[in-house]
This record gives sequence, structure tokens and C-alpha cells, in this order.
Amino acid sequence: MRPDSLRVLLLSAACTLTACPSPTPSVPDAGTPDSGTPTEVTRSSRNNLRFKGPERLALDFATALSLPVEQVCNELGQYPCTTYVHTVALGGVEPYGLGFYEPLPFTGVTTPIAVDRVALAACGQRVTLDTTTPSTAVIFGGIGLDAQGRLANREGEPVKNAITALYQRALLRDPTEAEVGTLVQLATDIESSGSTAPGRDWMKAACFAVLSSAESVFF
Amino acid sequence: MLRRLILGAALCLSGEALAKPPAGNVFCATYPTAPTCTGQQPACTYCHVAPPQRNAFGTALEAQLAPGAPRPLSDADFMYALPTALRAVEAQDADGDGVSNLVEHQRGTQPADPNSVPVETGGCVAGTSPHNPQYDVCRYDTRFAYRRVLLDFCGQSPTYAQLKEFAALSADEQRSRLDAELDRCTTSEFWRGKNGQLWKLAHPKIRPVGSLKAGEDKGAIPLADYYDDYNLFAWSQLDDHDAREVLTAKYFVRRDTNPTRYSVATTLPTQFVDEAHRAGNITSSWSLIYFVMFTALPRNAASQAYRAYLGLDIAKQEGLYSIPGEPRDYDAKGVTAPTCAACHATLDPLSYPFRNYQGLSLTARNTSARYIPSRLETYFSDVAPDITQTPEAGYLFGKPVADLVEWAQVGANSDAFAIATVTDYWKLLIGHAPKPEEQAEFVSTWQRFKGTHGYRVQRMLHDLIRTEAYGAP
Amino acid sequence: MSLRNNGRLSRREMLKALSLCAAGSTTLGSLLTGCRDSLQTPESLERLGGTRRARLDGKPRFLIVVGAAGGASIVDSFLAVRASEAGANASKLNTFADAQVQGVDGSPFRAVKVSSPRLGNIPQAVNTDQLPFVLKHKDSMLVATSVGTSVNHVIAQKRSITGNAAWRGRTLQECVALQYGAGVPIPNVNMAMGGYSERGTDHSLPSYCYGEVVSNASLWPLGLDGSKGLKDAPPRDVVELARRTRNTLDSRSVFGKTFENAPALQRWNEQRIVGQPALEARDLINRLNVLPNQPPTIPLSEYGLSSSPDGDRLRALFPDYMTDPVQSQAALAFLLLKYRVSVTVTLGPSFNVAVGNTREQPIASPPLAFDFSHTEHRSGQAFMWSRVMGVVDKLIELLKAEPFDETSGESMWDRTLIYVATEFGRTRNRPNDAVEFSSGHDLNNGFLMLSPMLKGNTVLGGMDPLTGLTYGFDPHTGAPEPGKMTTNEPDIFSGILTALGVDTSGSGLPDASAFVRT
Repeated sequence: MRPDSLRVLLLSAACTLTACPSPTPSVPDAGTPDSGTPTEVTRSSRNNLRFKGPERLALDFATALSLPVEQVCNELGQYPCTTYVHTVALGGVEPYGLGFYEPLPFTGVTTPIAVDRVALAACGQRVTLDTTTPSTAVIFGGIGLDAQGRLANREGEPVKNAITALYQRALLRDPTEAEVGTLVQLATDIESSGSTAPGRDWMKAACFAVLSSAESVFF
Repeated sequence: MLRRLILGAALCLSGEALAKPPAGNVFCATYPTAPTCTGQQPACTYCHVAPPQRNAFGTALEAQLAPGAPRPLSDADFMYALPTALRAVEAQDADGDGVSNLVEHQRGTQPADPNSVPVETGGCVAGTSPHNPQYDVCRYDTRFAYRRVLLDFCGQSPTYAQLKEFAALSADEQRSRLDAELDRCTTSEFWRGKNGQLWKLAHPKIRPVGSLKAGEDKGAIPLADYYDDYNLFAWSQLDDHDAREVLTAKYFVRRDTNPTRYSVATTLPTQFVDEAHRAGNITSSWSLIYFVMFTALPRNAASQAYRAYLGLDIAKQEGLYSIPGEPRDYDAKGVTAPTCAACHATLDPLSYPFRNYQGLSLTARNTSARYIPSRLETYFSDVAPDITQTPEAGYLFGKPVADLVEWAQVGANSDAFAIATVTDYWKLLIGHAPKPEEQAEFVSTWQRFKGTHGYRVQRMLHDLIRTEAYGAP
Repeated sequence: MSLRNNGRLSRREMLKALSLCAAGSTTLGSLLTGCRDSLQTPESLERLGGTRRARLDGKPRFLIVVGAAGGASIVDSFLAVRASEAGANASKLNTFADAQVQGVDGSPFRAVKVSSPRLGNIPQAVNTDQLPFVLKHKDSMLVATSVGTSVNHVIAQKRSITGNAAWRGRTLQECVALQYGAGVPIPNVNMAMGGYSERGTDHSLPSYCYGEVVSNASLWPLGLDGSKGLKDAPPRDVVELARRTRNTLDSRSVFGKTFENAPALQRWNEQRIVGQPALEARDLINRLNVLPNQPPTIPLSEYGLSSSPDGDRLRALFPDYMTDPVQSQAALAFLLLKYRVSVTVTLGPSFNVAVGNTREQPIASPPLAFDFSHTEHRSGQAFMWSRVMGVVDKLIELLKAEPFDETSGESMWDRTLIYVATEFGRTRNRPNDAVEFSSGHDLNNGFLMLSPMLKGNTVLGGMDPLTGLTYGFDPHTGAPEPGKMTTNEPDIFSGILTALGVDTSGSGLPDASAFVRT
């Protein structure tokens, strides 16, 4: 066995034992071609990605979801996530109180958690607004739910439109067919979970998956 | 004798063998085209972990440095022997990264760091057919740059529609749009407002302490209003202003809000240095109170200004220009000890021009943060027998300066200032200090900033966003 | 294609690994080591050094660094000089009236008592006595004299934790995290300021070794779970499904493929795949939360959160945790060690003022911390030492009461070392017999450290009372060496690591066995 393969296997075994997150059961091997996404693309040689940091994240999330920036995320309903509670974790500075004059050069282990919180908080608000006042819905308009609270038609246009809107608003591009399919599959998976409101939870989950993606938070 | 070891406000190296301040000069005379010699010199860390401890390259070099000659070598012997030693180890690979020392010199990578190797970036292999539907990874990608410009200067991404519209433009139109968006976004609060991006650049220079803040956002023990410093810094970076004035301004800057506007003021109730002795932010009330504070010979103020505005950190053995006969140790801190003199031969003459700038006085508050011609004689005569002999004239970059005003002018007109200024923006907008593979673009950018653009940051930024370092994915 | 030496995952490796992973177990932490070790080859681990002993006994030791910012002077504490000992120099050196310097029978340590009607120009009385602290802790106290190499605050702070780049530029905390931290979720948490919170310069270490910076200890636990405490968040299993979907989309996207070799993205993947679940599985958002449920300002229960099970006693012990950062840092430091989140924590005062909570004590911490000595040395040092000793004492009490291993009877304290790091000492001169005077920075000083693992009740080196300067010692034998005034930063660095059982083979560090309890 090649050393590379061995190490991947080791990691997988470790993941199994230690609850590293597992993917959806249907995830294919990396070599499987996706429709709409080329298997191979030319790689960057510069590889100079930058993390957006607290201000840009807040503004981009706010714009993507048409929310006032100060409402994007507040811990315990009152402490701003990006400008107060998680500022340093998100790559910001705290010059006056802590003498923290320059941002950390790297993301920390709590950075993705802070991103998740900000994205989830923002998405939760957007879904609540869209479902309580459908006439002014921004993303999830026209999506019907059945008696069990599931998406009435997972393959319908409103669902595809919502996914397209999320991609266009957060990632500035259209989703591929495969990406639409993966997010529709997410609805099925949620229906199989313990969710009591699978349709609404799918909206939040889909929004969260796109907003907190690496493509959304790096530039 | 033990008195010599009382080292108040001194900065000393350890051990018997020290980094040699002339080494940078000799290296650059040997390799004048090396990237690390363009407007600057290699730091001591090129050969040392921290002097005297040598890194792998320094160790290899030392073995070839006048072998058999008794140590320590005099500066003259060292300067004579170093070129031969450098040549002798050119073909070696001190850090074992597969790249010879000579190539590392030529390409601007670190010969003692195996992780620092020349990297080929940008461009694609000729004859291949690159495929990437989203990114032009082979060259400057205007769509990629467009998103970056809006994020960097406006603080948020373009919309899907804006990006589509941009993509539909011709190449020339796209470049014009990039310039227009840069100019638009640099008027944003995100860029120029309180706590905006320009203020972020200023934090390590001003080093605010909230509890000592006077004026707006006053702290528990208000000593000075450092927002004045932020205002001057921001002003000097904006519009068609001369960035050097952060060091040389005879004026102050006030800030109005909603939206943020900066404007020149000839006086401010929070600033006390008379016009003839002002030198931008290095003579602001905050700088004097916080960096000079209670010291007679304010080495901390000098080294902070050297670090913040000229990019040279003496504590890291950067920017050492030993002055013969220095340090004189006017304040009897023991800095003539060999272990200390290596840095203090630069630092002390750098500090003399601050001798008449009063920091914080608790006994005579109305003397704080002012220029007082006989400051040492009036307030510090008991510090040391020779303290009043401290001259006001000093040295910067090894050249004499008459006073702090000249110090600031020489500093502001230096390559070091231009390099430090552009490095600040490189780090802010590209995410790291210039890498060896980015040296050509970096050097071109700071040289045009200093020459063609007359130290106008706004114009330099138009150059910077056109670099491949910025716009090639 | 390979898992890189830096331990980060490429897109393809991430996807392969993910696709082989089954649904996660709930027993996370103890097996995190395996997850992390799989990211390193045995060869690369060996090259890093500092890991072998952990493999042998498997039991962590803990390091608490207290960054005594501003220059905590050893001659204003445990090596204080009486005026009667300084001869003709007494009135011009920083000596104390004899009665202020208290000796302790059977101990080389001294304790200073200071009473001052004000703290410099702050109208606040200072009445401090170090004797109770020394009496209580002398057997675990070691003071090592020192000569540093910088009087620049930030530089000297960093050198106090790297021994001036004694071992490839690693910090003490990074060394301890490498040795003992592979099995815990955030091995190295850093809450201190300036150079105390900087990374070392050895970039080859696994990413979990580097310090996670915490700016606000009271609020930071709110960032230890991605969805708990958010009112509109979907159920946890739905969030997990969403994350898996997101990670899959990320790895397949053109973006993910284009930048698969970007270090920032590789680090991000590792943090999301290995680090984040390890944290969330431990319910740390609640267990580390010192805040009380106190609506309407702190409505924890309304948001499905709760205070730590240790919250009541920690709030009682650190009553000013909301206004005094050092108190909230100390409370969090204890919890991080207790719950095995970290193996090293760093805390300490900043240069900012901390406001007090009583009329008698309007200031909990003066501006510039120990560097307030520029304004007024004696009361400033006394006040700040009292502050440091107070928090150290409480941490020791907490750790003593916390079992580490029920079978062996060891407490947490038995396996902990507290290092009071500082930048430098202070100048020794003063105007004739002045009791209020200012002081500058001086390379000559000494460091306080406390641990049952140290050779307690010991001063390494000594004091020349005629100058107020300390002299050095042999780090191997501990023999004092009067007249030795050369820098010894690597000795201090090595001594701490040796006491903590860190494998320093191959480091080139000096033998510092004189620090270790035998």
C-alpha cells in the first residue's frame, strides 16, 4: 500500500473513532465526475487566499440575506458577534482595550465555529422573515410545505430558485446542477432526521451551507 | 564595575560574538542585485537566529570567515574577510532545501530556512491547455481583482449583477472600472472612517491604550488624545496628500463625522508642541506622553518611530548603522558595554534629537508633551553627571541630522519610508509581506510611489491593485 | 498526493478521508490524539522532538504562564534587600527599611510589606504584605535569577517565553502543547498581551500547538459551539447534515479545487474537520461559561445555555470577573485545565486600567501594569505583586482541590507549573532615601515559578545587597556563581521544560536539572 493511501486510511480510521465529521452516505469518491463541475481544473500556483474577517463577513452576510448589518448576529440577543464577542476569533483587532494591534495571521480553531454562529444566526432570521411574510420573501419565496412541514415539492422551481438565489447572493455565481442536486438531497436527509419542521430546517440548513462555505468566507 | 550592568532603558545582545552591523553593507556590495539589497539591507537574521546564535547559513559562513584568525574579529577584519567567505559557501546549500546559497541570494529567499525557496507563480506551462471556468490562474484575473477591490476598499463583495456587468466589459473598460471602483471605495467609511482600514494600519504605529485616552472615548486616566494621531495618519494617506507628512506635518488634522471628513487645523487644544518643532505624529501629544513618558533620553520614542514609520526594528537588529564613537552613554545606563554597544551605536544617536521633547511630567503638568529647549538641564540634571551633555544633533541612517525636524525630513524622504509604507499596504491588501517571488512587483511599486507618484498613497494603490501578486488567483 | 508535513488536509485528501469515515462516535477527546497523529508521519513527529515521553506515560502536565507585564521586580519581592545590608549604598539603591523585609525561617525567600497612602498619583491606599503568600507556598516556589537581553516590552515579553529563541524559536507553551496536547481540543490558550501572546518562530509544529488567542475570557466560551444558544438554529442533527453537505460542496467546487493547495484552506479544513467537532462534543459553551444566568443582561436559559457547574464557586473566588480581566482569565484558565481542553494557558494584566468595584479601591489595575513603576516604583510594584500573588494563590487552591487521577491520588496541582514571566527588572537607583521614586527598565532580575515538580523553597543564584543586582547560577548543579552576570534566558527556558517533563532531546538546550525536584 502506498504511504499516501495508508495515511488517508489512518485518518479515516481515526475519524471513525474520534467522531471527525462524516459526510452524507451518498458522497462519492473524489474521482467521480459531477455533472456541471469539471473533475479537474487548473490549480492556483499562488494560493494566496485571505479570510474575510469580521467586518467583511458581516457586510457580505447582511447583503446576501438583505438584513441590516447590526442584526446579522447578536449573542444572547444583545452582544454583537462580529464587532464585540467574536471579533478577534474572526481575525479582527482589539487595539484600545487589549493592545491587540494587528490581526492574527491565521485562522484559529474557534474561527470556523464563530463563522458557523454568524451564518446560522443570519440564516435563521432570513428564513423566519421569508416564511412569516411570504409576500416580501427575499430567498425562500413560494416554497410550499406539506402537512408534516416538509417541502411540498423538492424538485419544484421555488426550491431551485432559492438555491440559485443563495449562490448568486453569497457566491456571486450560479449553482451547478450537481450543487442543486446535493442541496435537494439535503432536504431528503433532513426529512429522515428527527426534525419536526423539516422544510424550514432545510431552508436554514441550505442557507447555512452556502453562507459558511469556504468559497464564501475566503477571497 | 557593576554599575555598567545597570542597564536602564538599554537594549543589549548576549555573549561574546555579536552580529556585525557592517555585514549588511558588505553583503550588498558583494551581491548588489540581490532583492534583499534593493533599497534595504538584509537583517541580522539572515545569518543569525538571534545574535550571537547563528543559523545554518551563518554557521556555514563562519567556518569560512578568516579561518584560524583569533576571535572576535575586528570590524575591519570582518569586512575584509566576509566577501571571500560568502563566495566560498555559494555552492553550498546551508538549509538543505535543494537550492544553493547563491541562488537563494539571487532570488531573495532565506538561505537558512528550508521552507523559503524560490517559487514559480503565475503563468501556466506552455503548450498545455489550462482549464478553469472560474479563475484565470495563469495571469492577472480582472474578475478576481474586481471582487478583491470591492472587498478591500468598500468592505463588501460586488453583487451578482455587478460582477456580470463587469465581466461583460472589454479589457480596457474593466481596468478603468477597477480604477474607478478603487477611487469610489476609498471614500467609504470602511476605508477611511473611525476604526476603518486606515486606522487599522495605524494601530501598531500609535499603540493606543484605552484607559489613557483623553477626549472622545475618554479613559479612566486621560493623558492624551491619540485620535489626533489617527486623523493625521488617515489624512496623509488619502486623496492627493503627501504620505510623508505623517512625519513632517506642521499642522494637525481634525475629523468630522457622518460621513467622515478630515481637515487641516493649525492648532488643536490637545496639541502643544510649537510649530517650529513639530514633526507630524512623532511629536504628537500621545507619542511624547506614551513613548517618551518619563525618560531623559527617549530611546523608546526613537526606536518606535524608526520601527513604525521607517520599518526598521532595532530590537530585531534591523537598520543598524553604527556611528563611530557611539554610544557615549550620557545617561549612564551602561550602554557602552560591548554587548550593548552593537545596537546602541545606532540607537543612541537616533535618540538624541528627542532630547528636548518633554514626555509626561507629573510635577509640572503644563510642561508635558512640549518642546523645552533646556529640558534635560531643567528637569533631568540629576539623572547622570553627563546627561546635560546630550546633544540635540544625532544620526539617522548613518547621516547627521541637526534636530528632530530634520530627522523626520530625512526619514520621510528615505527609501526606508517608501518601503515601509508600501509594505503596510502589501500586507493589508495581499495578506503578507512581500515574498521573494513578488519582489520585482514590490520594488517597482515602492519606487514609483517614491518617484512618479510623489508619495501619494492613492496613486500607489492603483499600481498595487494591478500587480499579479494582488490580482492573479 | 500526500498529507503534507504541516499536517493539513488537501481537498482531495479531505474528501477521501470523509468518504471513508463512518458516523462519528461520541467519545471524542481521548482519541483526538489519533486523529491528529494521523496527520503526521512518525518521521516528522520524531523530527519535531519533544514527543517521546508523552508516548511513554501518557499523562499530561500543565503549564500556566502569568505574563507579569511591565517588569515585575524580584528585588521588590522575594529577593528584597534591607537597608542595613546595603552599606553606604542603601540610601541610593532600591532598598527597604529593615522592618519591611520579612524573613521566613528555613526559607531563602523574603516578603515585603508596603503601606502607602496612595498609588503614585492615584488616590488609593496600598497596603500589601507578601508574607502570607510566601509562608503558604514556599515549598513549591523557586526563584531563578536572570539577565535578559532586551528592555523593549514586546521583545522582552516574547523572549521570556522563548528563552530568546533557545529552541528553534518555539515558545514554552508550544513545547508543552507539542508534548502533551495532541489529545486535547485547544492545547494552548493565550489570553495575555503583546509578546506574551505572540507565536514562536518554529513554523514546523502541528497547528494545534500554536496559541488560540482569547481577548475576552468571559464571553469567549460563547464561541465554542457553532449552534447552541442561537434561537433560530435548527436541531443539532440538521446542523450536522448541513455541515457535511457544505464540506462536500466545498471540496467539489471549482473554488475548492483551484485552491486545494492553499495553506489557508488546508488549515481551515483541518480546523473544521478535526478541531471543531472535538470542541463541540464537550459542551464547552456551557461548561466553561462563568457567567451566571442573569436576565435581562445575561439571559442564558432563554437561549438554552447554562452557567458552568463550577460557576458559583468561581464567581465567589473571582468576584470582579466582569470588570477585572485577570480574574475572568484565571477562572477560565482553571476550567480549561480542569476539563482537559488545554494543557497550557497564558494570562496576565494588560497595560490598560482595570476599574475596581469599591470606593476604597477605585483601580483594580493601574495603567501599564508593573510599568506603572515609571510613575511610582514602590507602591506600583507592591500593588502589582499583590495582584499577581492573589491570582496565583487562588489558582493553586483550585488546582489542589481538583483530582487529576483518582487512583494515584494526584491533584491537578501536582502536575502543574505556574511561571510568572516578566520582561525585565527595574533600575535599582533612587534619590536619597526616597520612598516614592520612578524606575526604568533593567536587564537584571529573577523569575518566580511555582510547582510541586520544582525544587521548592529554592533560590537559584543570589543577590548582591551592595548593588541590588542578582547574580547567576549553574543550571545543572544549581550552585550559585557570584559575579556571574551573563544572560541565562535558555537556562530558564530549559528549566521550566525539564520540570514539566518535556523531552528536550536534540534541542541543544542546557542541562537545567537544578530546577527539578528530586
